[in-house]
Amino acid sequence: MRRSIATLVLALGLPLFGAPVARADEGGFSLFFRQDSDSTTVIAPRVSAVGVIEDRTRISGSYSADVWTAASIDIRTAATVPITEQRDQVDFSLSHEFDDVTIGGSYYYSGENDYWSHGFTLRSVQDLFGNTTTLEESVRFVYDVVGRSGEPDFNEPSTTYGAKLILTQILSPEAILQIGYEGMIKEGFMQSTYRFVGIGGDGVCGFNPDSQQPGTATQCVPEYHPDFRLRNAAVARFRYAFSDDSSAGLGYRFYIDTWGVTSHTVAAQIAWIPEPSQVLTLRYRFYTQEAASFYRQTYDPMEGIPPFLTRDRELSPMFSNRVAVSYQGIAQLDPDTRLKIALAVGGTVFAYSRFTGLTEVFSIDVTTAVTLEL
Amino acid sequence: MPAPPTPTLTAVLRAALLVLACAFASGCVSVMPWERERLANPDMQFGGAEELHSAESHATEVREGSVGGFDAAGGGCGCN
Repeated sequence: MRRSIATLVLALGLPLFGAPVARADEGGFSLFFRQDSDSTTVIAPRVSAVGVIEDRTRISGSYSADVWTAASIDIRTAATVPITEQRDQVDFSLSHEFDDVTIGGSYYYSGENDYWSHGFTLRSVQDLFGNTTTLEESVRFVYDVVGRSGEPDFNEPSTTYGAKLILTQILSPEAILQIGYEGMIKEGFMQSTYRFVGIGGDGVCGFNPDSQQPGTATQCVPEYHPDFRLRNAAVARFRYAFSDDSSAGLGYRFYIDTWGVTSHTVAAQIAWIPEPSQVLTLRYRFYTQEAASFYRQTYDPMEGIPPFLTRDRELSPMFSNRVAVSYQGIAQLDPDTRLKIALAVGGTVFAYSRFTGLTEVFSIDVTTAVTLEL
Repeated sequence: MPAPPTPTLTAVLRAALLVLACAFASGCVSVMPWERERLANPDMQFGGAEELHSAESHATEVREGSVGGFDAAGGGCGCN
């Protein structure tokens, strides 16, 4: 029965690959819930399956939904009622192992009422030096179409080309290091189709949540971003096992792009293995960024309307702190069947130093996942 | 005469070269397959447990101006 359910999930998730679907080796379900002080709630269920053909070919598929209800700062500023929307995403991936080289590809489609995205990735992984070194290269192409609710003829495309190189090195029986670089070029339409930027006054069009009064901007113009963005991210991650039942990890990312956004991300974790089939992990993440070069909290009318302008908090100076704890456990149901259970609870504080109407956002999230391995 | 590189850039390049040198030098140090049991545990994996982290990563990533480097976190406009 368990195998039937997993096989059904795999068959439903992989219709594009046609007949050669092998037995399902893994089927899973997860549920993500997030609530924040910016009046946004997210519920995201996900179902996934993995099949393996003759030990060398791996096929996987997943479907996830992203249902969110929001009365966030953008919506409050626009003085509109809270909205509920759903994003659906399907992912497929196929990979084949040739001795020391694994080659694979993946595709995703993400759709919602005003944004559609197709993503393709090709990936190659080489095991080198007796499998102590792993080199991974991947290239990515994403095609997005941005729409606007209520205007079916409004369709603006954007494309992303990306390349990634990751080197993973076993340093000792207890230590492993990973370094990598990812570069992306995005071209096309990148601004919100709904946001307006206020010139002069308090810089707010619509309603100012700070003053609880209508905004005093003397002029309101649609948000307008450059149509080209080169993004670079360099990462280093390290894991060290203190003993058979404890380990620690550190990670760092440096990011810089042609819009002037520079960021640093530091991640740390401590893991404890109380039983061989259980892992408890405590994670901490710190993120800080500088604003995009064209971001202003308020735009001065004396300087005229600049060529690019935004009221996107993601382009304002900000930092965040996140703490999360997770549990992963495995139960052997019978000699061929294992049940994996996972639970994660996290909290994040986002701080905005120069964004009118928003200084801090607190969020809490819970993820549960159940996976059946056959 | 060309301007010398700034100390900051020089320091970053030196650090990057040091990390690369250490990584490749250690590639010459053989760690036998039977010595890698501990490294195979879930707590030593980079980017593991996708079912546990993909939705959270997506929700976090869309609230920041940066992207990439770490594991991919799905598509869409990130309006949530």
